[in-house]
Amino acid sequence: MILETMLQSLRDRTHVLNKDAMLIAESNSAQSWAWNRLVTSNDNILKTDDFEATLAATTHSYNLATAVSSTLTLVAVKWLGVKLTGDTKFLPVIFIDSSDDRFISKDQDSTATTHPIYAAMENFNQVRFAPGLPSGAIVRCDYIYGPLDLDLNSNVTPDLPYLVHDASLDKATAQVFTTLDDDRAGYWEMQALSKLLSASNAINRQQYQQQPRTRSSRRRHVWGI
Amino acid sequence: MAVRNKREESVADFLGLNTTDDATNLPPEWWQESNNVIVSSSGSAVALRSPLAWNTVPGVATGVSSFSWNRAAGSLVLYDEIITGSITSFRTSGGANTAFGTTYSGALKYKRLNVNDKAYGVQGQTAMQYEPASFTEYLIGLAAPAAAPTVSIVAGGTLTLNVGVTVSYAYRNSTTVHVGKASAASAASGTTAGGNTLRVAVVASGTGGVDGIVLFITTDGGGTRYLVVDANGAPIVYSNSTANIDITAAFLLDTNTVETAFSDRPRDTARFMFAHQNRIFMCNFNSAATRWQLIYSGLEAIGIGQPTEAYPPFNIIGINNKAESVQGGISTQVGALIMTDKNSYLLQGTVSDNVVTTQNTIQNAAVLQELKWGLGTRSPFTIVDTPFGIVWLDQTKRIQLWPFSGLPREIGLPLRNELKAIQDTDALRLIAEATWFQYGEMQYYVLTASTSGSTNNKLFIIGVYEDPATRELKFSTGVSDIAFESIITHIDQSGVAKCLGLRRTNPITAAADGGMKSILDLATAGGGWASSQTINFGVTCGNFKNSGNFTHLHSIRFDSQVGDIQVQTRNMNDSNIEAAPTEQVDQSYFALLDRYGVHQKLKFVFPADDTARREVRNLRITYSAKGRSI
Repeated sequence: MILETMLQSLRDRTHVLNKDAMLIAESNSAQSWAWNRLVTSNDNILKTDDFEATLAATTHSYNLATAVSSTLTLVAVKWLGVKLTGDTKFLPVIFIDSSDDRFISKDQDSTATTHPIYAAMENFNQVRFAPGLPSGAIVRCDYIYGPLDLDLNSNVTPDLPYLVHDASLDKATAQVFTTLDDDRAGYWEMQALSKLLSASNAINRQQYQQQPRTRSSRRRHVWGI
Repeated sequence: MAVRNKREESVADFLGLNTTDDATNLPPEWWQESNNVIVSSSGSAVALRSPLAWNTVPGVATGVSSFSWNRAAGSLVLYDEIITGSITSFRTSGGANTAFGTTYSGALKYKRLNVNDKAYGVQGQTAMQYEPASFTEYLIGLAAPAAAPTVSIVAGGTLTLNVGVTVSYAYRNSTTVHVGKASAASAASGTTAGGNTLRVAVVASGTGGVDGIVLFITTDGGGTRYLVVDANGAPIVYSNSTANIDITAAFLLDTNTVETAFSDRPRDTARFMFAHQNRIFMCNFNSAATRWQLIYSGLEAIGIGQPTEAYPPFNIIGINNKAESVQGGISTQVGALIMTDKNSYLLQGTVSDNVVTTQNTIQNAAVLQELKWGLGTRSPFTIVDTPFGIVWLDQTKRIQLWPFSGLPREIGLPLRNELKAIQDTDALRLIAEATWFQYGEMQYYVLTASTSGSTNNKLFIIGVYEDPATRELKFSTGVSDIAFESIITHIDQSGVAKCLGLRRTNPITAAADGGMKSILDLATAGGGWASSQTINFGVTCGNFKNSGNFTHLHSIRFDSQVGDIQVQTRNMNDSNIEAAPTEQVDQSYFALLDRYGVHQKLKFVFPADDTARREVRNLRITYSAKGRSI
């Protein structure tokens, strides 16, 4: 389902004919709602990307958000590796809590010359290395990003799998009806939940070549999250 | 739509424009603003059609007055234009125009009446009339010869006078069949010795239309002069020439027809007239000595000629305080309603010729009753007769209805704020004009007046009707920016009533116009609207029956034959305008509004292309009442 199809359905259902900006905003909200539910239970719905960044100075804290694609929103780190100046390959950092004794000890060393390198996530997007990384070190990150916002000009196809489109549309319908004080909001809310459950199950029936290493915490049930 | 906490306001019958009440207090039956929209006979809001050309545009831009002349030979419209500083009159039955008549200097608005099929007219300068077939122009009335005739007894003939006679004469117009005021009486002729001729020396009249002279002679030794007639009793009409009229034999007198001593011409300075009790009343004189007077034509004292052309000099009714200017009047079922610039009077009883007393009195049979309303007019051309009473624009710029008893009722009350813009100079108040247009579904008082500039530029339209269910008298109100200098109701030669206005300038081309245009024919497209003209009305949403102050204005429904009426919601100060698309189901249109707040303006904007009759019926507003108070 492309965006225009979703919009037409929303117009037909709600009779909101002259506020496409509002309909798109509600569609994006509905899409986020669906994704937030599925991402915790459906491994296969994760959208990933990666980047490599060469550090220009000694770095203890690194803001991953500055390095991800400008069109994407970083949700979670899937894999983070560092290649020091003497390394020939990237080696993964070891994520531990920043209050861990090993992290505290390493954090007091001078800049890293060898592995292992410990890392801890701070403030959602920032990673703190222990010890700090020297200038010239290269950081590589594979990350999970959220669904792209719908846009009539630049993004006319929803980023979520087609199986979720109906649920997302119904959720948007419910939200518009709520705005309009229309009591059919409840019906469409139920439709959205029901279709999202079906979509979740269908997504999990899809074939995998390999199970991903990062797994959702709760795989089986979306209902009641 | 299944709206939570749903409320609904429905408008079956609109009431029209109301700018007297505060817009935030109005229910949706009233329009807080409108232009070129009126309330139809069914209660819908209907867009006016643009003015439709009725005659060939003469291309002069200075029309001043118009008149529907319902002649026996077929109706015509007379209208008057200022051309190079002078008034020129045109006549038309639609289509071609013909200029005719005398031109008069100055910008003078005519008041005309159909009297005996002729078009009588006054404009403050000359009381004149047009013939219905030849369109020849004559004065109303004929002045008396300047001097008494000279009489003498000459030789020859068979006339015998034992005591002698006195003679007077008067001019006659054989077309109008009017005989003017008689001259002064001659000296006594003296006696004849037996077998003589009475010679009467008369002076011809140079007045247009005069083609005869009649004589009035006393009986031998008598004191009263009677009309000289032939053996058949018909007046003997001598030619209009300066000559001697010789009466060589015994003459016959019609002793029922005395000398026309009271057949004076009317004053030429009258600017208004009306008919009442088979007489013509003239008023609106602008001198201090005469402004408080009405004069009226004779009847029982006029033995020969046209009574409506004869104005006995003492046929004067005056306002006793002499401090008020008689502006105009109109005949009613209970008497003549006479309006001054300060008050109104009712002339009751039967008016009679005042031939024995001095001015400033009326005969005992008639009574001038001061009505003590404090309401008169400065706009006599706005006084019209309707089936519901007399309607006019009073001197305080309010539209009144007097139903022939009690106090007047202000039927233009919702338009007070619109009417207050009418300018106040005497000249501009005087040119305000109105007509009562009642034809088919139409039943409106239409007033044209000046709110800016030096010409009339705005229409005020008031519908007067009985509610079909309750038989209660109701009024609707609307305004239009159609600029008509003069407005009349005219029944054309096919019997169709038209509301015709005289336009000065074409609003689309800005060219000189001067043509008559038809309005209030909702079935017929006109010549189009100017780009500056709008057709719309707006109602207030928010004064609904909810206890809280806030509402969610959800949607509307209205019925219409066409789907091109734009629905807008906007703040009361016209900011934040949103156009709401409509969806059609049969002849109903729906629009989702989705506006939250206290007051909103719901505005209906009609297309300006004038390709169809467009109206809004049965408006239903759905909203959600909020409990929020602040």
